Amino acid sequence: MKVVLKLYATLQNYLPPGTQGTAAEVEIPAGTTIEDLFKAYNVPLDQVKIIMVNGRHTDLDYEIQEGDQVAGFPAIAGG
Amino acid sequence: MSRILRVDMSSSRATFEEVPGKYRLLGGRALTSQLIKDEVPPTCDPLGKNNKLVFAPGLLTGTHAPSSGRLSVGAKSPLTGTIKESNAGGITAQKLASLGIKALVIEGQPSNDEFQILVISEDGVEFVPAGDLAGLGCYELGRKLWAKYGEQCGVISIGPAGEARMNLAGVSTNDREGDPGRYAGRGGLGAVMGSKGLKAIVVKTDKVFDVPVQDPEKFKKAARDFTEALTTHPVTSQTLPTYGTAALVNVINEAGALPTRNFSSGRFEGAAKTGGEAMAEICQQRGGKGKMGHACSPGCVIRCSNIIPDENGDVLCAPVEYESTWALGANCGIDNLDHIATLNRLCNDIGLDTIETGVTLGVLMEAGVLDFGDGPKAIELLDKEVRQATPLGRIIGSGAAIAGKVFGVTRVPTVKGQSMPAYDPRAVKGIGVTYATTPMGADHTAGYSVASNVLRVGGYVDPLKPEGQVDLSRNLQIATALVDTVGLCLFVSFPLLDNEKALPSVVEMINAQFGTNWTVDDAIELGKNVLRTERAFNAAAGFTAADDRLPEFMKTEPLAPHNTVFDVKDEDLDTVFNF
Ligand code: SF4
Repeated sequence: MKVVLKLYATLQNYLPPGTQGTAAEVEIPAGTTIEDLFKAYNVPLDQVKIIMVNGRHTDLDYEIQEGDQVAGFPAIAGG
Repeated sequence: MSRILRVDMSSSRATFEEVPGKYRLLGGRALTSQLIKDEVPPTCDPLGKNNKLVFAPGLLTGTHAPSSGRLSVGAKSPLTGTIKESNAGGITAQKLASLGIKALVIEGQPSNDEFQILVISEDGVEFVPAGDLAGLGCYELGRKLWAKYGEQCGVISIGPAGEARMNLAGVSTNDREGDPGRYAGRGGLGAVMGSKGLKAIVVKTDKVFDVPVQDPEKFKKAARDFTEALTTHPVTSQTLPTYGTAALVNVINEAGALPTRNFSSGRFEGAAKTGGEAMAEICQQRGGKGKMGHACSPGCVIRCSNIIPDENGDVLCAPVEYESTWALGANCGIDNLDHIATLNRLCNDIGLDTIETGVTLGVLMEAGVLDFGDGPKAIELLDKEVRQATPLGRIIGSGAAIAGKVFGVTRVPTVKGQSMPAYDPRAVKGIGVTYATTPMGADHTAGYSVASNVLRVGGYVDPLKPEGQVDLSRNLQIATALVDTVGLCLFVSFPLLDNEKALPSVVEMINAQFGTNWTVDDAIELGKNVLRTERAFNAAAGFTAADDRLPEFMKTEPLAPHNTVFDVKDEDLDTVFNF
């Protein structure tokens, strides 16, 4: 199934090669968790601080659904 | 020995006073707010002779405490009618503190329309007629003052907007490059300075870190511990220096809380083009003077500031930070970073608060005065109308609340007359509690609930639910009042929230400097007292619980994409200050 993977700031480098910007459509088997997906792209899990699916916070063990927008961020803050 | 410098603009007289005992352990926001509470009649006209403009470096400013170069500016606000404290970085606070000036109080009012420059140096204080410096934008003014008084002098100034006493006018302080842009922007403090006939304050000294410390060994150790907390936390050591505060654009957009086109949606399709990642890319591509990881004041180890270059690598604007790229970007439907940076530069030059300006432009766009997304027209409005203080320029200059009334717009995102910053409270409910209840009017810095609501710093409270938001906001408002008093940049809060050793090291620095024996609880009590003082001023000025509310549309118009409204109950809002 197809889902959208978004990686920002220092994690941007782990998007599939050739990605323009911060998001890429990727193909994954059913039953994939966010942890599986991030590992598949070598995203260093210890650097992932904020995870959102469709704009809501979630965790690594979330099982991804068709069409989900999965976003990962490192520690980010400001004002 | 530190002193209070009192400047009477009615008689052009300056006097140094001993610091009364009750002010000895106050600084920054605690001191500006206490002085205003003690000396300004709460019902006075903010632009009249009875209001006072108070500048105060923080308790630790001018020492080697890291990231402690903040300058608090306070007065009764012409925008909100409440007490106001707004603080800024730049190079001036440390110079004032190093000259032994604990507070600078500007009072009275000249009987003519002439502007003056106040020059403070190691030799004393001098009043100089502004002459043809009056009317200048802050960039040219800064260059001329450096040419006359020496490079590296501190310059506090107002632009044409402050001279015209507009509600949007901020007070600028310069950075190490001499440019304006470090603004005590909020609440129209520039208009108060204009009403005093003061175009600029020059602080002429090479001293930066010359504030005496009672126990230098103890201080050094505590400062080292605190520095370690800042340089090991991932936010203050990595993301802020690499991407600046604008790294938030994509996060807040993803969370569905980035106010877009005058708070009509929580997502902006052009967000990525206006964020910190895009800025870092532009700095790299264009090179020249472009830079991320810039420190706005000496001794800042976080360095969240940036210098955005134009196509030729010259300085376009420094900094463009999160609030500004949002206010002048997403909120106006503008996704062109060059337009945003140009608008930001114009704000710095004319002397405008970027948040209030962007929100007011959004309201005008809603009213059809210009189209959403029309950067060039927005640039023209600021450069022609506001700079010249034409009638339309004055409507913009009066802020979103008044502009909304003039044009009959009901979607006006203000609290106590002050525009909301870059987080929609329908999708970040904790920040809504802060907007509603802080004594400052809608202000994110007063209690940054976004940290726990969205950024997972200092725990997690679901941003879309009403539960837990009041406690979150209360604790943060207290802690922030303390941070603003110490003179630390607010961005130290992230390590403060996550690292339990950080706050004790701040308290240790205070103890080492002043010879006190404070505990962490004593410091927290100081934060509470600041809020009590400010609330008492506002109550005497006529503010009640009915003013501690968000605008009606936030309770009735659901915000996309989460389709939520602000639903923290009024009676819960009224418990924020139960301490
Ligand atoms: S963290 Fe940023 S705003 Fe704060 S003092 Fe440092 S450079 Fe200035």
